[in-house]
Amino acid sequence: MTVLADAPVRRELLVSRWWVQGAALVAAVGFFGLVLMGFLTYQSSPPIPDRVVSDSGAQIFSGADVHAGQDVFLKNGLMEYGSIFGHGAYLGPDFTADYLHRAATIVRASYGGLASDSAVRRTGQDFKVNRYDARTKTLTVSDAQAQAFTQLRGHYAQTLGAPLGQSGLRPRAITDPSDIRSLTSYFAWSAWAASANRPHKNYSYTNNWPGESLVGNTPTADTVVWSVLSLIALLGGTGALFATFGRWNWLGWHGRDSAELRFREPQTVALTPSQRATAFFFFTMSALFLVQTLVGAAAEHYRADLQSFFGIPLDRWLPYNLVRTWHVQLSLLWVSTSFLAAGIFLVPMITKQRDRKGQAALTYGLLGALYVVVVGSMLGELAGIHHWITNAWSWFGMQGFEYLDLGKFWQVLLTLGMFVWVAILYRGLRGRLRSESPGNLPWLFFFSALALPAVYSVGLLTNHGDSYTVTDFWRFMVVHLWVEDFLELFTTVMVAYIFVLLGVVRERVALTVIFLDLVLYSVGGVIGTAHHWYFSGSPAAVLGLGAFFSAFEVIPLTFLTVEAWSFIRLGARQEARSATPFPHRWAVMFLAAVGFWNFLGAGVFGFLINLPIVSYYEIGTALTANHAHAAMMGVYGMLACGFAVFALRYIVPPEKWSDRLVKVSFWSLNLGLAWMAFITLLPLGILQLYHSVDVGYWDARSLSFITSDPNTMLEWLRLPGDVVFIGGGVLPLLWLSLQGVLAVVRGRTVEGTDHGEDMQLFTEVEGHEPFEATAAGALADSR
Amino acid sequence: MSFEGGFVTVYAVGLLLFACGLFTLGGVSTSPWRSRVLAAYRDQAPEPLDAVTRTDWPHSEVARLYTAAASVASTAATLLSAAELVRHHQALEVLALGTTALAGFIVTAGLVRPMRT
Repeated sequence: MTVLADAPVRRELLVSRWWVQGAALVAAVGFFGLVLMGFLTYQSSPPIPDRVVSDSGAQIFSGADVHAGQDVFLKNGLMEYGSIFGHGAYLGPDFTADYLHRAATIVRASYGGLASDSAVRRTGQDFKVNRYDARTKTLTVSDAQAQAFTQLRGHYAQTLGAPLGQSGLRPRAITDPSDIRSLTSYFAWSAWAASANRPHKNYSYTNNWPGESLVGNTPTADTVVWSVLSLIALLGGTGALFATFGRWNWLGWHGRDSAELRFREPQTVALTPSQRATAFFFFTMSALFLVQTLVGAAAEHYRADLQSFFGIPLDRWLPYNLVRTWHVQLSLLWVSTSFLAAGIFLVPMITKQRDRKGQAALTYGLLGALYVVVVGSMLGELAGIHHWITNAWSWFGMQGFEYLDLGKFWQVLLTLGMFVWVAILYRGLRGRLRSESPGNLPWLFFFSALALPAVYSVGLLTNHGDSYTVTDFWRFMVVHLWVEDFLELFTTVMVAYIFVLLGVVRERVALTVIFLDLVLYSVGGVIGTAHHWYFSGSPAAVLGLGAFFSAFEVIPLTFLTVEAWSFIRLGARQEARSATPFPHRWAVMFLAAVGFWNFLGAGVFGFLINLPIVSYYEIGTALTANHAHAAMMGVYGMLACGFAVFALRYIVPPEKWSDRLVKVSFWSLNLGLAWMAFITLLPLGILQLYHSVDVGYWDARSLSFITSDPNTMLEWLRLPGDVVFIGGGVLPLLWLSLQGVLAVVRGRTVEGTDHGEDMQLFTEVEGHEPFEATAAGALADSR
Repeated sequence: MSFEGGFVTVYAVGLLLFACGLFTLGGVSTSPWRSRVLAAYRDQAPEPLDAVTRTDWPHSEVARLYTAAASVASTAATLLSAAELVRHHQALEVLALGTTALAGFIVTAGLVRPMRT
């Protein structure tokens, strides 16, 4: 009884319980679908035979060779050079398609060549008929296929061990004959899975991907039909959403229309020690951003000129697969750094309380751990690719899965670091959480933060010893589910909270938007993860689910474009009504840019490559890069910059702050990104897609096509935009964040009192009953 | 005419149309009261909530935003067709790419001039 009497009174849930229950139900259905697809993937992934023998009885390679080949592939960073089953980087070939085409050409030649009808028929038969005996775990192939294997060992020894390099890999990248044999076995197995029909089906384990006329690989009925159905899903879903928006007008952001606010001058808002510590995070973020763009420029240079970097043989020290690995990893790391800092920065503003003892020390500790992981993992990748780490390569060197390149040890540390970050947030929020319903904003902030390490930790299940299909399932828990869904959720919650803290929207409206986004992301995003598994060995049912549900992902993104303008208008409205200037004009502009790129980069460019029939020809081409850059930088990059600008506005003293610099940065980043997309990636991608359909996927992914004159011209034309992006976009941010660090070091920020009023971002001068009756307010009031 | 030349011409013309469309859109009033999409919103609100003038932020930025984005597209179109003209210059290609590059230059100049003032 005493406990009950002492328990703090919780504030009631601010929105209808239907929102919470609906969101929970939709999320549960989504995750059930995801688990079901995982089950199907484990059940139906292509088997790795114990032995592969020829008709004459000779063993060609074994299951152990295939596993060893996957290890060679990963530890040498070949997934950051070319791709396997279409997944990986875009400079080198897709090794599945490459092996399949070369082997089929050799087999057909051995049967009489192009002129012979029987040669064409027998070649198709050799590759399409599945002669795997599940009982003995033995795969039998023709003598001609065995001969192709021998010849292709020589080919890969020559190309991957080239003494001069000039292929994007370092000179003599892989020379050990045993490694070459294993690697060729791995490619051969992937080509077998891509061509041999599944038992009792008329298509291969990869749904007949890649298209290859020599072996009769053409798009399946599932690929075509689900493409059509996903188009219908997109049209229907978008129409339904806008009909709802127009009919009831209670979706989206609505302002505190009648309240007059007075924004506090940023330099008068008191900061806690942990908030001041975030200045170092934002400086780190900007520095990592700069390094990420520089190594990105180096990676881009390889596509424009493979021979050298303006006369310097860069591939000896920093080959393409290394700079590309760093480019990809750093994109996650600098964005995450900003998110970590923004979370810590917001907590005292939410609680209006000073830090608990040790909060700042923990924050600095987290920063130190971040440095250890970033520097350690990057050095590990360098050492791994250069073969300086041999035994524990997957733990400390190059683990090799694209986006999960960092060694497992660093991956574990990163996960633990994120849990420590959640603990820091919890310490700060604890008092406030006790007094809130678990469905209200403070709890959603905490839950969405907790989801980040929780979902990222699922990526630890990737194992280099597993079949590629299985391990790719877990890899995309990070690449898709973590990045595209849970980061998106955290983003929505953070933005909502910032607007609430600024007095721009009421908490109830913010909650409605969060729950609505949660429902929409769960409908499309969770099961939609499967659009990455169309052709990596999962069954056709996964293709269908992925195609249909991922089409829904575009709908909330379209909706966010509508919201983007609301972001700006809300900011403007408060500026107009405040006697003091609105201090976050440029942070709001970055949020508007997030909305724009969410629609264009994630929505339009994403959907462009999302249909199975398009993906069939397109996967791993420049159109994928186009989507990746416009979505990753356009959405999360802009958001990370927006968070930095928001926080630095309070940290940097007014005499050092420059709105003009932020303006230059904003325009340079956006225009540079648009230039990158419209002058290089989009036209190049269209040309490559056309070539893939017209000539063949393997050729569209070959070095000879990538380095052809038209492509080279398009790659060089990107240079001015990249210069603007780096020089005008990144450097001003670095300068401003340096001013933040100097302000903290020199003690130029405002110390607070214990009362917390000096942490309020605005004061309400006059408040009438707001015109909020639109929005969720009307619904909630009518409960 | 080569496939490549034809592709670049069509792509560049597409970019120019996109640029012109964006520029035109930038001149349209951004007041929500003028919007047909928000007709239901008008029904609920007794009077305009925003007394918008084109000099108020963010409305003051709209024309600049659209013009800047349009300039990127038109500059890209100009540069692409000019670079392609260097690579391919048979009579038909000179006509198509040259006309596109010239049109791109004129459009870009027209877009950049008001931004500088």
